[in-house]
Order: sequence, then structure tokens, then C-alpha cells
Amino acid sequence: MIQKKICMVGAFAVGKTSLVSRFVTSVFSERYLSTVGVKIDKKVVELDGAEVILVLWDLAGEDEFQAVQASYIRGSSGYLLVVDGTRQSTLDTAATIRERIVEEVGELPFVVVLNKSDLTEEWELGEEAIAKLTARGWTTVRTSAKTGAGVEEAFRLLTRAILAED
Amino acid sequence: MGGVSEVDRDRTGLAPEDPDAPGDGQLEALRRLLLEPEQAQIRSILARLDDPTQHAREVGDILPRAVFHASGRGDELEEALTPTLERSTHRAIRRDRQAFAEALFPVMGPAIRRAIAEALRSLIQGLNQALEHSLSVRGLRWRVEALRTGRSFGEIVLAKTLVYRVEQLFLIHRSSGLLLQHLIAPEVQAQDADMVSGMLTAIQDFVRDSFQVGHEETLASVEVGDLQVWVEQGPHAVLAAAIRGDAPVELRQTMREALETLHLDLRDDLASFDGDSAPFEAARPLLEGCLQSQREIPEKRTSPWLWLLLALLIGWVAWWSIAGWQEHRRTRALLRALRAEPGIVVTEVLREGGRLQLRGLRDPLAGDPAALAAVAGFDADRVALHFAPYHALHPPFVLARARTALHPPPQVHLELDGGRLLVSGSASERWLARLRDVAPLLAGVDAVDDAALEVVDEATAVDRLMVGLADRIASRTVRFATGSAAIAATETATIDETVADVTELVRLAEERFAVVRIEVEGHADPTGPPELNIRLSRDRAAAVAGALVEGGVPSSLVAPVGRGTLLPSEGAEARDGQQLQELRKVSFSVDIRRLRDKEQATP
Repeated sequence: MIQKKICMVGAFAVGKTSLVSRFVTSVFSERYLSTVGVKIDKKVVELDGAEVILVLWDLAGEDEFQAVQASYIRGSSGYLLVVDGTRQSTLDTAATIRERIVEEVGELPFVVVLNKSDLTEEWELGEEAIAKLTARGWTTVRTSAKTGAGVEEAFRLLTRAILAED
Repeated sequence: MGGVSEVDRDRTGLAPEDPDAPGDGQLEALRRLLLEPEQAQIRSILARLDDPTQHAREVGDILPRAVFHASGRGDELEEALTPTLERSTHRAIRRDRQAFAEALFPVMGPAIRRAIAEALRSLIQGLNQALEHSLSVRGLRWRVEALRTGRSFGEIVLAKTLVYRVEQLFLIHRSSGLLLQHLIAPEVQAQDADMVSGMLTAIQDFVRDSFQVGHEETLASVEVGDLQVWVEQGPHAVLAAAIRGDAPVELRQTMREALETLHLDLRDDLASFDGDSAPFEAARPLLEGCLQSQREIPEKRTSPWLWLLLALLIGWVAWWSIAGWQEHRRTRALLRALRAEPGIVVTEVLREGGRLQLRGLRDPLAGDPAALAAVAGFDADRVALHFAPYHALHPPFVLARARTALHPPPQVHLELDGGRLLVSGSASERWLARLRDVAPLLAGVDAVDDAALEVVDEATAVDRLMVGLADRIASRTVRFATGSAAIAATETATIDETVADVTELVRLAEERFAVVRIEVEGHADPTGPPELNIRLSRDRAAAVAGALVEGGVPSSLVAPVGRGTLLPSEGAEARDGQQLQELRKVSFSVDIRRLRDKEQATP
């Protein structure tokens, strides 16, 4: 069976943890995130009849006080870059994080996850901003931790991109 | 050049078939001159190709090298060869099973033996442990713990009796934290190893990042309670062991060596790891060497139940042997008593169904064997006595039988000297006749010696007889308890004998025309007031007189008299009990009066 380490990164409070909590196997409590800065979960994705185990490193959110620990990224096959669709600023943070990852470990497959899609009222990301991302060759998926929409798809897209790399 | 040689070969090919082809002879000579060495080579090559034997030899020369070369390039060769090998193996087995069995024997035998030994060993160990732990207090405590924690009893036992055990081994890809191999000891409950592996790596990174240690420095161990995680770091992989208890330092050496060997053997797979852990299956045997454990050498404590059992056993054996010894002693005592008893002969001693069986002979005059058995401590149901009657020839028995048969008068004395019955004293002619008739017939009497017997006439004999009886009666006393006039049970024999003698005396007296008078004299000891003693002596005399009358003595012949105290009461306290007792009595005096000639025959 193929295993892949993937990371989940993004700004503080973009909803990374709640985004995956319903979709992964978990044995560690969320306290790990605030203490060690990382929490490991597991997600089995079935792709073209084969199963891939994703060992998911949920990294503590980035804010002005705490930067994503670059060492946790090492050895990853790809990552989910989580953005809060209701906060434009988180997209900038995501871009910063991506740059640091590229600096640290080079280009890796990733999927931009535009979370909180259920909050249409407060949605800040305009179509043109998303189109700009797509234009840069970034894969984007709208997700909702609340409804679960798009989460499976995000994992599948990332897995497919990773396997395509091999 | 290519073009030219092509043409050349074509023409060379034609040459042998058509020697007379149109052409210039000189050209032909030149051609031969120029191309002769090549043509010779070509001919030799063709010959080698056409000769199968030669061809086979040459292929044989290069085949091993070719196979060696091919095996380095993927699975092609294996795939090509596998069907043929399978078929030929099948065919070989079909053709000669024996040869195959013989070839496999050295491998199969030890393997089967080992498997059986292993299975038996674990079975015995399991049984041992079950017995060891099921009855002890410690065992019960562990059962409670098992119930409380939801772990299996076996797991608890293992955890409590282990010095240490490597519960889990993680072989982790160093940069990704992905799990390459996971080994787990039997009956250990483990979390999802993939995630644990990731977390261990994350913690490694965390420690490294948080405390600014060098990149190559790593967390060597983590300790939580009695659980330790030992981490060994290699260039590409990390070996982590979750250990319960205190593992020896040598274990780390073992881990390090395993990791080194692994890096050597799986160098390429480690370097090119992209998430496929399949190649690392090969590392399992190596890692199993690290899955060590050491059990506590259990104290050889004997169960209290065993002690109890032993005590019971010892008790039983002791009881049994003491009982046996006592029985033996009783038996010996009884046999000794029986052998000492004259007139009893024991001929057979058996033990049947826990009962002692004694057989033998017994003179009717001999003591009662049942009484002897009771004295020796035998219950009546534990001994069976079978004694046939016989006449013993012991002098006392012979004498006793003689007395019974002869009724000797009191003046006659019988004695036995060897087989001779010595008769002395005085007797009537009639009794002497009877003696001479009867005595020789008695068993044990061979001869009768009556030389010392004085023969008197009948009247004298009777008179002497009466005097003898009177003496005997007068010599008797009946004793009493202090202050009592009741006849004690111990005195009834004296009363009975006296009644018999008096009755006989009365009968003889009638024969000799005489009258007998028995004075029954009561006495009291000097203690107490004299009036009371007088009354007491009178009451005692009356009691004995009454007893004689009751026995058949005519009341007219009996005269009770109270004599009070024979001695003065002074100094009575000074006398001892024995002397006082002798004073509390009834005595007899006999008075015989002849009616016809007034002749007195008093003693």
C-alpha cells in the first residue's frame, strides 16, 4: 500500500482542523496542535481502484506570532493550502506560507482549499481573485467544514496530483 | 565501405557454385589474394553455425554469464523460467517421489520437530501459568485488574511478570515520518501505527526545533511511567522501540546493529522511498531480533494449598502409623497376657478385615480371654476369639478339678507333686473310698498318696468337720463404713459364704444331734458418743443377722448382739483410719451344743 505524507497549512482560524475532522481517522486530541504544533491524522483515499494512505499533518495555524514550522513540511508529498473564504487576508497568508514551503523543500503538489463556502453572506473572495489563482496554475476547491462539501474532492485532487508527480 | 563489403560477400557467395563464371582469371587471383583470410574466417564461422554440437558447446560457455547478466535486469528471466521450472519439478516428483523426499528430509525433519516442540512448549507454559495464577491471591488481584481495565488476563499477567518487553517497533522513514514497518508483540494493544509513527517524527522535529539542537541531534528516548520509547536514528530511517519495563543497555546496541544492517541491505529502497512500504517487508526478520522481552524468574513459592495438602498427608500418615503402632502394641500385650495366663494356648494369630483373629485352646478354669482383651485395650468388635476347651495340666487346674470332683472335707489338705496327689489331714472311711475311686480318673493325676491321711470314724469326721466350719465362720468379719449400718456391696460375698457354711453346719449338727447357735456381734469404732455407738453396733448386728436369715438360715439360730465399742473412746483421734475401719464390723461366734450326751464341742 502506498503511503503519502501530506500537510495541511493555512492562516490562523481558517478551519483546517474542523475541515478534516469528519473525514479522517484520528487518535490524537486537538491539544497537540497548541502544544507540539502539529497533529497527525490518517485518511485513506481510494483512487482508480487503489488505496492510498494519507498521513495528514495538521499544522498549527499561522499568525503574526507563530509561523508554520518548516521542518514539519519536510518529507511531504504535497499539501492542502487552506484559505478562509470570508477573510481576504488569509489568502495572502497562504501565499506567504507557500513561498516559504517552496523555499524550504521546493515545489510540491498542493490544492488551495477555499473553506467556509457555506457562509455566502460573508464571502469575500471575488471570482476574479479565484480566477487569478487558477491562472497561476493553482488548483482550487471550495469546501465547507459545516456541510462537508468539497472535502473529499480536495483530498482526491491532491492525491491525484501527487501520484502524477511520481 | 558497407556497400563494398555487401557486394564482396555476394560475389564470394557465388564463387564456389560457379567456378567457371565468366571473368578474368587474373582478377580472380587478385581477389583470392586479397580476400583469402576473410573467406577462411567466413567458412569457419559457417561451419561452427552448422555444427549443433559445436554450437551447443559455445552456448554452454556463455550461458551462465548470460543468466547472471539477465538476473540483474528485472523479472524477465524469472518469469520466462518459472513455468518450465514448475513443470520440470512436477515431473521429477511424479517420476521419483523417494528422491525428493530424501532431498527434503534434512530440511523438513528439523522444521517439523521445531514446530511441534514450539507448540508443546507454549501449551505447557500456558497451562503452567494458568495453574500458577488461578489460585493465588496475586492471581485474583490481577483478575480484578483485568476486569477493571478491560485488558485480557493474559496481558495483565504478562505485564506484571515481565522485567521488560519491547511491545512495538516502528521503522520510520526519516524525512516523511511514514511508517516502513511495524512490529508488535503478541497481545499488545496498539494505536494506529501510521499516525503514531507520524507523531513520533513530529515530536522529534518539535524537540529539535524548540531547543535549538543540531540537525543531527535527535531525541534518543522518551519515558512515560514504565513505558519508554527508545529511538535510534539512521541516515534514512529511524527505529523506535516502545518498551515496557527496564530494558538492558544491550538492547540499544541490538537496535543500532539492526538499523545499520537494514541501511546496508535496503540502501536503494530507502533512498528512493516514495510511499511504498512493500520492499521493507524484507526487514521484518531483522527487526524481530529487536522484539525482545525478559520475564521475571518467578520465585518458586509453594502454594499454601500445597502446604495444607502436605500437612494433611503427613497428619494422615502419622495417625496411620501411630494407630498401627498402637494396634501392634495392643496385640503384643494381649498375646503376652494370654500366654502368661495358665490354661490358655494361642495357636494362631491372624488379621482379617482389620480384625484380630485369635484361635487356640482354653481350660474352662482359666481366665476369660475376652476380659484380657479388654484390659489390653481391644474393643469387642476389633478382636475375635475362638478358643476350644481342653484340660490343662497345670497343678492349680489339676488341684481345682480334684477339689470339685472329691469334695474334700475342710480337714483334708490336697497337694500336687508332679503327677502325684498328696492327701493329708483327716477324713472318714467313706471319703477315703471315694478318693481312691475318683482321684486316679482325674486328668493330671497319675497317682494318689494318702499315706498322710488319718482315717477317723464317721462321727469323729463329722465333728471335726463341724469344728472346721465353726472356725471358718468365726474367722469372718463384715466391715462397715463410718456411721453406717448398711451392708456394703463388697461384703455380700462374705455373707453368702457364711450362709453356706452355716447351712452346712446346721445340716451336720442335725446328723450329730446337736444345736447350733450363731451369735452375730455388732461393733462400732470409738469415734462419736458411746450411746450412738451402742445403737450403731446393734443396728449392724441386726443387718447382718437379717441377711443370714434372708439367705435361708433359720432365724431361731441367729442372735444379733450390739457390743458398742470394744475400746475406750479416749485417744480415738490418735488411731489411724485402718485401725478404726477394723473396729467397724460384725463378727460371728458359733455355739454348738450336743443334745444327747451334753458333750460340748465348742472350739
